[in-house]
Amino acid sequence: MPVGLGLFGLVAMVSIIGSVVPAWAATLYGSWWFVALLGALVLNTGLCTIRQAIPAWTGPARLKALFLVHGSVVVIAVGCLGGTLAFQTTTVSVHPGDVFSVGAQVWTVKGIVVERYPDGSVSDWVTTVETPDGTQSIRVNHPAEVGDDKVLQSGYGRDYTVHLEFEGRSRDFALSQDTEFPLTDDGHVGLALSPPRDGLVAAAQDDPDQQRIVEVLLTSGGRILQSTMAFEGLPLLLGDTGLAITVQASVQRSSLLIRHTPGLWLVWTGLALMAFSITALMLLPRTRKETPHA
Amino acid sequence: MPDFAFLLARQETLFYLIHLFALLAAVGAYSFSQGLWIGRGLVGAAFLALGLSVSIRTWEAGRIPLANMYEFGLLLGLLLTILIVVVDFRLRLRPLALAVTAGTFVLAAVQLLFYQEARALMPALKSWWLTSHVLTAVIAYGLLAVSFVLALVGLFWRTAPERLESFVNRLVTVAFPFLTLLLITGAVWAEYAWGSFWRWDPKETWALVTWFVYLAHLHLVRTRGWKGRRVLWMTVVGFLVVIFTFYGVNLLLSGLHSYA
Repeated sequence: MPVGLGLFGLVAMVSIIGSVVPAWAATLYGSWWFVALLGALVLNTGLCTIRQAIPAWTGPARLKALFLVHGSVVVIAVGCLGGTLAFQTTTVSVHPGDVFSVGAQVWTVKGIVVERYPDGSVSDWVTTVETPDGTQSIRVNHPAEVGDDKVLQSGYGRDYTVHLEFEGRSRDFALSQDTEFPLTDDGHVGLALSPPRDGLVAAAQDDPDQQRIVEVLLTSGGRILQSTMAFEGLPLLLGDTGLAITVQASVQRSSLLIRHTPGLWLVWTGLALMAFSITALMLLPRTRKETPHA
Repeated sequence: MPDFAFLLARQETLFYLIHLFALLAAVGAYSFSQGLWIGRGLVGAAFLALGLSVSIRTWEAGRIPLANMYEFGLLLGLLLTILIVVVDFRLRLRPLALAVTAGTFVLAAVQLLFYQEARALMPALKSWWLTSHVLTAVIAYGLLAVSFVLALVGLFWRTAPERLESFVNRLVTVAFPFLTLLLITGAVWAEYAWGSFWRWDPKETWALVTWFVYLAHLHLVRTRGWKGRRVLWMTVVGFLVVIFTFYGVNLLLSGLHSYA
């Protein structure tokens, strides 16, 4: 046990350093020696569990619960190890009608809906997909699952098709919401588009029968220099710049995170075991047979 | 400083201010031996006032108040006023009730700095796991807060009775499972929300450090027979880690828990 507590202390110290110095976090938490430290902690817990197994076999219920608590840590750790070694993550940006792969299956995006509260702020956003197993909805906190694959709603936005005119020259390009398009050669001034930041105006924009409103932002170094409202299909002259911008079309976009994590069932099993055994420890009475070991 | 004119104009915050002043008055009453029952009555009034504040906020927001630091403090305050009564009637020592009441008042006053109006939940927080995760945190932190106050009293009270240390250890023993469930519910929710059980987010990291500290506390007391001042010091240090986990991480470190 002294070794275990010492290892806990070391892991705690390294964890604290990584949390207060973000620049070091990736290096620390991903380093081989930190993983080895965690492995040593799990090994120590495993040995402690084996030591508890014999007295727990014949002892009172509380000893069995203690054995399960320690054992659950090992189960969780083995599940995490499997997941860490073999996980795969992909992020896809999709629009209605797009298809994408989830494992061996091909899914089709049927629709993307933004749900709002009465004040216009976003309540939820839902991506409806057609899969070989039927229609599924993906929303934040409610991923879709198939086998070891999980598809999570990680973000949403709009993608715009833009026509720009300046001093007789024109250019057409695609621009995603809140990304900057450089207007000057040195990139000092940029153009960004987004749905109106005013929630109620944005809510009106979600209705396909309403004229689509776009907030046009002139930016510099991340700061907003100028904000103007534009309507899709109608050209907008940007103040004294001489720039004319027309947002020709926009389409709802959904960002989905596809995560393949084998061995997840082990982590779930370990967590359930831990919750059960901790609760048992709370409820079971202590007996004289629970002699503390040195 | 909070805008007191604004707070007084709203029913929800008016009852919160009544709760605060009732606690302060209770501290004053507990300071005198003749004021014991007055103190108990004022603690009861503080609980009722806070209960009304929580009820009004629940009705206005259309949900249980769980979504930010201020709302967490509301539920924590409710639990702490109950624990004042538990300490008072279990330990039967007026100075201890005084200490826990004073600690509850300090916390309630600090929490007022984080006041924000009730808002609808953002998509990331719309989950059943919010309720279970936050409630386990409220229970764990509430029990540990009382253990902290009593441990401090034990360190400075040379003739403190043995049952004080025993009660402190009991509080930590009861809090630890909730601390464990806090980590479990957080990890499970992270899996559903972000696709990963653990990301070494500062809040997650410090919650784990907190768990380590109290794990060491339990093992050293139960299996190594630790007792006396070093156990009380460990209890104090443990709660200082809790304070950093709750306030320090939210205010000083950026991460995925920023909405807290």
